[in-house]
Amino acid sequence: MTIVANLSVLVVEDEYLVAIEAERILSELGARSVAVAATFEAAQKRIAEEKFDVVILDVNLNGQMSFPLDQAATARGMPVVFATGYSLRTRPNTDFTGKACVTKPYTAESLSASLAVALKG
Amino acid sequence: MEELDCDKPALAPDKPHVGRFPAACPVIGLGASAGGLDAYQAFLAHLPVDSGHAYVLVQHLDPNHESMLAELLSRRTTMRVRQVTDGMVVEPDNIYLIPPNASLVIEEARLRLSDFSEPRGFRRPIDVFFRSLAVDQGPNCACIVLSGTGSDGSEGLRAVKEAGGLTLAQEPETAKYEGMPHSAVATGLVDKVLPVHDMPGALRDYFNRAQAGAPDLGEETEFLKRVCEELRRKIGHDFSQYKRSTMLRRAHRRMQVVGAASGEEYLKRLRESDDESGLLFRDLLINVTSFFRDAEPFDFLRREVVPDLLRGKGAADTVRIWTPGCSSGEEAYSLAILLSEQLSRMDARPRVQIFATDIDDQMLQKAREARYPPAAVKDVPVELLDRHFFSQDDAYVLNQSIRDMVRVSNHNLIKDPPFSRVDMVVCRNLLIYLNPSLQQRLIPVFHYALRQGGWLFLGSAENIANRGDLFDTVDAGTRIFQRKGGMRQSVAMPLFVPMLEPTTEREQKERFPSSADRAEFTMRRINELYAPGHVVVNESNDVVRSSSRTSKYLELAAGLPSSRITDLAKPGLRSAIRSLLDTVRRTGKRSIQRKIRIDDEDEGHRLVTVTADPIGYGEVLLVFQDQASDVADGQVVETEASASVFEDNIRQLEDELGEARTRLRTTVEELETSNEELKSSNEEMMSMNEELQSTNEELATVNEELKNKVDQVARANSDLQNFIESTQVPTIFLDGRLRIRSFTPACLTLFRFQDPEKERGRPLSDVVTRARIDLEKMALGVLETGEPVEREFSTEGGEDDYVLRVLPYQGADGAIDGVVLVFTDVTKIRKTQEDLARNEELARQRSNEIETLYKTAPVGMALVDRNRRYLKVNQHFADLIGAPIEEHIGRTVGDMAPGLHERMDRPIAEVFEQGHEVVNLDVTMRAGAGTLQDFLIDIYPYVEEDRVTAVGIILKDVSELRRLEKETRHLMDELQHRVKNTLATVNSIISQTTATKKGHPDLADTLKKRISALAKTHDLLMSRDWQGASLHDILSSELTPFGETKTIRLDGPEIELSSKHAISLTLTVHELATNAAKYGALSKVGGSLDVNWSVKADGAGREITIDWLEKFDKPIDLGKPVESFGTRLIKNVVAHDLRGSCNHQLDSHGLTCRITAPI
Repeated sequence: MTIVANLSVLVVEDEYLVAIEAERILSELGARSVAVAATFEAAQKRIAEEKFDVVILDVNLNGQMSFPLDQAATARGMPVVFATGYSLRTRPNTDFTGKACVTKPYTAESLSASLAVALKG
Repeated sequence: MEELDCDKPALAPDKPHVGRFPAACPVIGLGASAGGLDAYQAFLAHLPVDSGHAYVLVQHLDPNHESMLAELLSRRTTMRVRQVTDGMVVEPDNIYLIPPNASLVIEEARLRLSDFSEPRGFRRPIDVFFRSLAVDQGPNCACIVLSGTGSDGSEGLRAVKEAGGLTLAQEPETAKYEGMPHSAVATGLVDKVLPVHDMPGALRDYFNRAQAGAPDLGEETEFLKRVCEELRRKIGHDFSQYKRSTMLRRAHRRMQVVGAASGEEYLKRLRESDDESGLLFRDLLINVTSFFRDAEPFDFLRREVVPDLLRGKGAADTVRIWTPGCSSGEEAYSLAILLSEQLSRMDARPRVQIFATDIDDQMLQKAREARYPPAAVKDVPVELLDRHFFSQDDAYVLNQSIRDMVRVSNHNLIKDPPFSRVDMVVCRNLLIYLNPSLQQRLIPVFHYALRQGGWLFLGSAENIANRGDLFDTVDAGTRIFQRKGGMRQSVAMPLFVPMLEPTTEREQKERFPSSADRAEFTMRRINELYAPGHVVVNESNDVVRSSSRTSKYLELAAGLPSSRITDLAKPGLRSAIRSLLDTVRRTGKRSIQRKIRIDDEDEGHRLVTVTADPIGYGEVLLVFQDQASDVADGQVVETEASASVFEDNIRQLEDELGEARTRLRTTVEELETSNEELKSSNEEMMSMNEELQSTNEELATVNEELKNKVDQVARANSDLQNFIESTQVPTIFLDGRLRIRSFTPACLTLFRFQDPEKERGRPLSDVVTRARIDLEKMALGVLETGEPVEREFSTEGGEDDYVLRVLPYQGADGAIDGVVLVFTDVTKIRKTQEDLARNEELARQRSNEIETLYKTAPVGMALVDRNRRYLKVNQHFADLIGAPIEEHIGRTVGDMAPGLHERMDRPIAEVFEQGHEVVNLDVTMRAGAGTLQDFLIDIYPYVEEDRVTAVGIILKDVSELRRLEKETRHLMDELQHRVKNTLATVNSIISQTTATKKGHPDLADTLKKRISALAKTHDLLMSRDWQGASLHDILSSELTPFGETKTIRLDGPEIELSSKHAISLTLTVHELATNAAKYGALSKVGGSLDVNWSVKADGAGREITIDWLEKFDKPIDLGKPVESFGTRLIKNVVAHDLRGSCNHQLDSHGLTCRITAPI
């Protein structure tokens, strides 16, 4: 609770139902604000223009990989939690080492744990 | 001094061509009769195969019997053994056999055959061949007399010896039949008598020495002198006056025989061995003589000389002939026969005395025996042979009447005083061996011996040595001379002063005085003691000789001493002697005067008989004999009357004697006649015996051959028997009428045979067999055609297969006399063949398959040797490497593809070393000029005979596989992503629904329906591989539950939506439909629902517009607007998920919802 409280969070998620569920969980967890970006471009724009305490990033956005967004967010000092349906260990050609991850469908507990990892740096 | 034979043309006037055609090698003649086979075999067993000599075997053979000798002998030697055909040239290291029923000679080194001229039983093939061998080859030949009966070969051996060849004879004790060797040895002309196994060595030594040339004799004259010295010392004969060349040749030959390398060595041998001096002596005296040798001179003798000798001669006369150097007497007997023939035509037959003399006692003994081998009499005309000879034990013996004419004695022409007053001297072929000076001195000796007008007969190369003063030449060609008149010249004997030292005392003691010496001694003794007193007076009546004890009749008269008989005779005798001498001189006949009275001073008177005998040359012998009656006083003196009575008695007795003589002659003649008859039947018997003996010999030879052959046949038979017993091949022998001859035990597998003995002769048709084939028919066919036939058949039940071969059975004469059935069990072979064929077919198929596989397999295959060179490469492999197949072969892996080499080098080595395969090596390389590709490599060992000789490489292109793998993984990721997203969506639906309808009674139903809608769309998507779904289908599936009762119209083009669109629109439509069913047109309010859609495209892309139009039948109460989850969904999901919009307008009469979204 304490970790997420008062944070501004950007949820980059292309599916509406998933996104609103994330919003709900984050609200419950006490997030100050939750913004949602449904597409890569929207997310890119917001990451570039706004400042979030943490970014929850769906790996696959309408078939497009979201790793450049991670780099952009990281570059702007925004911690990132990857949310993915992929089994992380078997994901080919992808290095998730040192990244905070949460597996879909996530719960309040799993999201909060991964947020904690991301925020600790 | 006797005749010597010659061994060189110059010394053989009768045969000037001796040895003129020497063959390329020494020619050895071997002669044998019965027992010959053993002897030949022993000879060959010890004969080196490279002796370099030619061997001619002359065997007495049965003329009617094919000889097996060649066959039997070829087993004993590797040399070529051939039966002679006419005209064959003799060659070294070859063996030639006389064929049966042919006479064999050698002419100009060629073997010639002809028919026998003599009847069977009189044939002497060995003599005939040896004689031709001697003439043709001379010193270049040798002859060997081996086992056999009779005497064939002996005469031929004599000829060989004469020609200078080597003569050998088998040791009689070692011969199976000793007759022939004995006879040969008895000639005294055999150089060596040896057991057969020593003969090859003797031949080799002899001819080796002959080739080596003349030995070193040192100084020849000195050598000869010493040889003569030895001969004189040992034998007692002096050869120093012999012709030098003859001596040298003879000595040389002996040296060759005994193997003396130098003159010194030979002299030593001569000194130390008594035998050698005897043998040299024999060699020096070799004489080949025969009856009537040289026809021409004998003809002359018969025509001219013999009649002259007998002319005017009566029964009281004697014809005296002297043949010095008579050797074995043939010539002397020839003369006797000539004279006897002439005498038979005369009424009053003079006595004939032929003095045959020689110094060789051995030869003289032969002459005395008067027994000659058939070869010696070959020139005797048949009628003379019949008349004067009789046959005895394979020899010809002269009749007694001829033998009585010849006196054989030892006499040395040079040393001993000659005979005298002979009518003819025959001395042929003796002078030629003596040196000229001795020849010259011998001619006067003959002159001395002959009476006036006597005949001299010399050899064809001899002459009277320019003594035309002593002899007239009667016929120069035949060498017949006649003594000239004139006084006998005294000859001093011996004719020459010995040049040698006198013989030693021992020899003198040993030497016997000659018979002539002894006779002289006897004569002297009689003369001195027993003969009446006598004197010899000459023409002038002077006493020239007187005996002892003449003092009773002679006395020296007073006055001048006189040697005149008329002066010396006692008074009373003088007148009687004078008248006797007158009478004798006048008549030339003996005269006697009896009862001459001599008055003796002290003894009174004596009566003396004086005989005067003219002894030739004007000399007269006077013999004085006292009258017996005068010896004692008072004896009655014979009266005239008593004398006449005495004479009457004598006459009476003479008459009686004459009568008795006549009777005796008659008896004798009768006896002689019956004796002649006996003799002739004896001769017939002898000749029959001869024939029988020779037949017997031939039979013995045949018998030996047969015995040998029988042994071989027995052995072969036993081999055959063993073969038949042991062979596993069923074989049946049938005769010409198809009856069992014999069969092998293995036949019992096919035939029900009893004991072999019982089966013999049983017809084939009677035999029970399990062979399913017409044996008889096949056998008959082969009998007819003589051609072998082969056929296959099975036994009853078909369990065994056989091949039957029927072959003609050839009898010994080559004619077909039955058949042979040979059964070969081919069951196993057939099975094996079938298996083999099957296996072969399989192997071929496999091979084909492998080849096809090699060609068509979608993998690269290659075979590489230890040096990494390609042995074989398939097309695919070549394609993968990017070079044609041909370029690979012989090149290394590294040459063709360095990348491959790098990856495979170690593993290949490993496979070679350990023999285990290595699989799934991966490598990425550029195939040919193409892109990088992924490969998998298998390397496996190729093993031949437990050794890895090559490795096989399988190269698989796995690039596609890799790509598919990647894709699959990607799909899996995608699936996971979707599933997880779907779950997240469901999760969200549950939590949102739960949040808004907490405690609501249709919570579960709502949840179920929302998730069900989602599931339906998933179904639609799944039905199209998640590629998309038809909008119409989505709408239908969502609205169908309501369609039955309500008016629902769907209108729009068929459009395919992506999965994302499908899900988002499903969620929206579901909420719209749920609301319509709950509150709107689909609820009890009633109304209509139209869903229209269209797609519009512009430059930015395509956009879909869906209009949801509800018309209520009744207006509804909108109430307080509640932002439900469903409504939020409708309003937001399209915007969020599809970046589209949803315009939702509700009033009491209807609902309008326009959804637009780019697609």
